[in-house]
Amino acid sequence: MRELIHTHKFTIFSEIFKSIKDSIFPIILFLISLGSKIPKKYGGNYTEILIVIVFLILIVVLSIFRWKKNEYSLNDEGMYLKYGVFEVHERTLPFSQVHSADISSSLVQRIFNVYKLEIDTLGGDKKSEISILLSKQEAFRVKEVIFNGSKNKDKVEIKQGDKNHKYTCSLKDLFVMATMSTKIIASFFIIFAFYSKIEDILPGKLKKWAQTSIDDSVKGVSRSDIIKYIVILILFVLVISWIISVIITVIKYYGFEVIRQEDNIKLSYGLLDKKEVTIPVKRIQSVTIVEGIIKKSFGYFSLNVETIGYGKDKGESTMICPIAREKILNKFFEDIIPEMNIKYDLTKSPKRALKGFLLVNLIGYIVAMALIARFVPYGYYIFILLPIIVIWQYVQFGDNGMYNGEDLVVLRYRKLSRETVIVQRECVQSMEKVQNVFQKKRAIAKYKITIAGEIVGKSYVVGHMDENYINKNYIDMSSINNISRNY
Amino acid sequence: MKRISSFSKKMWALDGFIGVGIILIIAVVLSVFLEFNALWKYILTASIYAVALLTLIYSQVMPKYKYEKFRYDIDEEKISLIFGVFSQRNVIIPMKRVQYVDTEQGIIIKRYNLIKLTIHTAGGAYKIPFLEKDIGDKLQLDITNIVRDISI
Repeated sequence: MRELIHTHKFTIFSEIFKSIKDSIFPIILFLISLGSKIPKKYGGNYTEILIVIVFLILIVVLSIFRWKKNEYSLNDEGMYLKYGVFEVHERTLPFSQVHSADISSSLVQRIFNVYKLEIDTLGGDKKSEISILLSKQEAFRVKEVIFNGSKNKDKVEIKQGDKNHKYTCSLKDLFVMATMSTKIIASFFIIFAFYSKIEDILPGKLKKWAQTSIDDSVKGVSRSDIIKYIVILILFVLVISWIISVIITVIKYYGFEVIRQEDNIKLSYGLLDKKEVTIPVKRIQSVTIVEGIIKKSFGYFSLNVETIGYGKDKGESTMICPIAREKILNKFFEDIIPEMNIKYDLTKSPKRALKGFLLVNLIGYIVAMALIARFVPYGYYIFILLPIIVIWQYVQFGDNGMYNGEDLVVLRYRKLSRETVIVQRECVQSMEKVQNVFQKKRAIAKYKITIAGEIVGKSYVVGHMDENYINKNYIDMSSINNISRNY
Repeated sequence: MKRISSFSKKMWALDGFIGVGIILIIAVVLSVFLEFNALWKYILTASIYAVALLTLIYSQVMPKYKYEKFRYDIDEEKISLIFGVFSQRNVIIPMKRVQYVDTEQGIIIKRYNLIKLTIHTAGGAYKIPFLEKDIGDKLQLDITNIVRDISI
């Protein structure tokens, strides 16, 4: 017999809260439309209060019932969940189908020691298959059972005796990350936009007063001082946006920790909203090393993984390492994802592709510049940027490359930041070679690898490679498929 | 490498006619209901007519080359497709990654006994348009068999 366990009692509160949140607008609308149409005889003014009270009682009773009916149990093969008041739903989820199990908790939930467990399968539904509130110990126990369910218990214990490979992000790293992130610029613009909108927001009287007082104070101020003030103002805004950026980053990624446990990578981070994410290594489709321009020059990088159907944000990639020193890169790969750890030397784009590359990219820039020069006053100064762009193109071209190994394919390209994508051969859904008429003459081709994703797959493209290299790649691929099939 | 049905030229041309028809309808509706009192309205209507004309020319000239360039092949390990007139695309889909194969037949192409074949992978779908029905059905069966053999 299964023993059924109730979820945490906190579910009642969250249900109540959710129902109120969902129905507050309809109720208000209803009350307004009701107005004072009801004659005094039948309660008159008290009707509204009465309705609200009845409604609240209904919600509370319903929530309690809902909690009562919400039960689950765990056995060897899977998880069983029962829920619903008017129609009873029963759901059985085999452990083998579980794709990810997330544990998270908000600030309020943490006060009551409640954690939310969300279990996902690969199925197309956007919502998590199972989402229940549990006490902390229970949540972690269930998660443990899910991921070790089929395995021998003794083995697990021995393994846990081993030291877990672990990587943590220090607070200093987070500061650096916040400083370098583009959020600074974004928040700068937001503040600036707000600043320019102030004129519309402020009431007329205040504006007038400000205007006169400014006029008074400006009278004695020379031109150079005004420039000084503006510079100070900009610096001030920058500092504020830096602080905001730091706060956001620290709140989001505080105590970032990556642990490799057997076949899973575990992430935990967050200051207010503690997040626990488990990614089975098997589901990882590709790993991307991102080296931003600014980050790179300070020797930092970040790491993303692409998984199939992960969590709530499906189709999004997960950052498994927000920031780290480049020196750590190798160690990180060895410890956390040894599957993807390979030595590779990239084959660069051939020299003869450079001409086409420059031509295609520069034409776009030049057209844009010409338009700016034509329509924006003093716009022709923009042509000063031309040499920078040409140098930038060279850099981009130099970064282009790919490597074709036994069971991994590595692609490297640069848009703004340099990205190195490592894809397991097994995960490649299709390969494409694209050549236009001009490229055919020069024996150059674009190479496109598609991996699995939600709805449409995710593609990585490296252009301007040698035609024959890609041909060789094709043949290799089919032969490798052959080998792996024979096993 | 195999070719698709030679009827495809006709089909593409027909598709083109339909497309042009739709654009023309828009253009005619615009020119009837728009009051021509500003320059941009003339330009708008004229450019839609121009687009219709260009589409017409394109759709009647291109099918021949499209047909010439389209090649497909399957073997035990992979499905390969080559297509594209101006830029050639050379696609390889490993058999192991094929999830399922669809065929579809609209009313027009049914008349010519043709079939459209779509190969689905987890990373997207690829189409082989306009195969003769018996060839298409056989291809679908072959792919399904190979995929099944691999998964065993």
